[in-house]
Amino acid sequence: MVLGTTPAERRPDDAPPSGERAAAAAADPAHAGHAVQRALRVVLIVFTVGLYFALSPFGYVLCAVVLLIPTRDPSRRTRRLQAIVQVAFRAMFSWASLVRIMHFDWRAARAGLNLPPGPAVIVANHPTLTDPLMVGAVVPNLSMVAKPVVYRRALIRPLLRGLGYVNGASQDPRSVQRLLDEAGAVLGQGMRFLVFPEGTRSPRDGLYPFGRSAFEIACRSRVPLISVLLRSEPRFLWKGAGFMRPPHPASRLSLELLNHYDPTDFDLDSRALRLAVESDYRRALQPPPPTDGPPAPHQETAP
Amino acid sequence: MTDASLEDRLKHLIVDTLMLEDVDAADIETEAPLFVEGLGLDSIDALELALAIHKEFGVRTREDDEKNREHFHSVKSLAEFIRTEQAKAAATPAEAAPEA
Repeated sequence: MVLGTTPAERRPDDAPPSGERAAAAAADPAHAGHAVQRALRVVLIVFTVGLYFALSPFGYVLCAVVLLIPTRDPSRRTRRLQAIVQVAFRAMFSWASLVRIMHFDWRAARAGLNLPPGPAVIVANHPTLTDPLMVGAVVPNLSMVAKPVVYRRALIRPLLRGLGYVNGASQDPRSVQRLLDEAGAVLGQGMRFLVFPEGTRSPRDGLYPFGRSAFEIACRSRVPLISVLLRSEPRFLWKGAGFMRPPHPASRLSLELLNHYDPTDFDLDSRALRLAVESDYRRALQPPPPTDGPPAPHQETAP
Repeated sequence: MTDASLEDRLKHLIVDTLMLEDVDAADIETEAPLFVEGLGLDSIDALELALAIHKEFGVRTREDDEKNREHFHSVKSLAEFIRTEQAKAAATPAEAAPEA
């Protein structure tokens, strides 16, 4: 007996097991076409990953050179590095769109976001692995939290520090204080600070409960908090899904402004701010009401 | 101080420090989880609680302690953590002097 999901349990964007794929392909020419396109996409993904490993050393060398140039203003160097990384993120998405691995129109997302100048805390839901790169491609002067396990790597740490990235909190509750202080310092330099308040990638349906760090940072620094809504349809690179299971058709990624919040409107109460932001996300992510069902019964309203 | 009073002091400390207006200290279950489910505390609450425990009991968490999450799981586990750390401090008084 083979254990696994039944066809009825799987989502439309899940790849069926290879045996089922072959049987379906033999029976349905359209399905065979999809299977060929999916296989071609896997080849392109492998090629792209190889390309990344071939080209990324040049990017690291460029960043190392910028890091080694003496400067009186470290924040200026940070902005230069952030600009280089942003170009790299944009190039990656342009390439991915070109070879149809996934589509993300960062130019359209940038135009639609219309960010106010100056420091801000940016929060986002986290449907896919590419989310930090999406926000990084669109938002200039962006710093974010790096996982402690990544931040500890000796070769990467100087670059992350140069970019103004902050080491994530460890298991010690008091390490959150350091995170708050360092994030506050980044915002004090006029940068934007990205936090995924769920702390991990979102579940397939909806959101995990939000943590409070992002909202506490905004309240302590008295900077605007901007929420952005990320989507990936069909979903790709969600938690637990590998690179080698691309959906068909290719995933379309989008980034849109959800709302602006002024922490002073919430009396600098990070709990209240979190509640408002999380409620807005849950409303925005609710599935649209069915359109082809029977009409809703007319409801009388009291005068 | 009896063992039971340490748990009660912790419950009052949690309510007072975190300003939990709609929670009575007596209603907090000693073995119930403090975070997510249970009282629904979060990382900022944990920070404030850790600072308050240091101030009240002279006990502080360590960055390299992989059991921090276990220590902060419930009132019971916090009480055990405080007792253990206070016992260690009593054994080595010079190292454990509270910070000024």
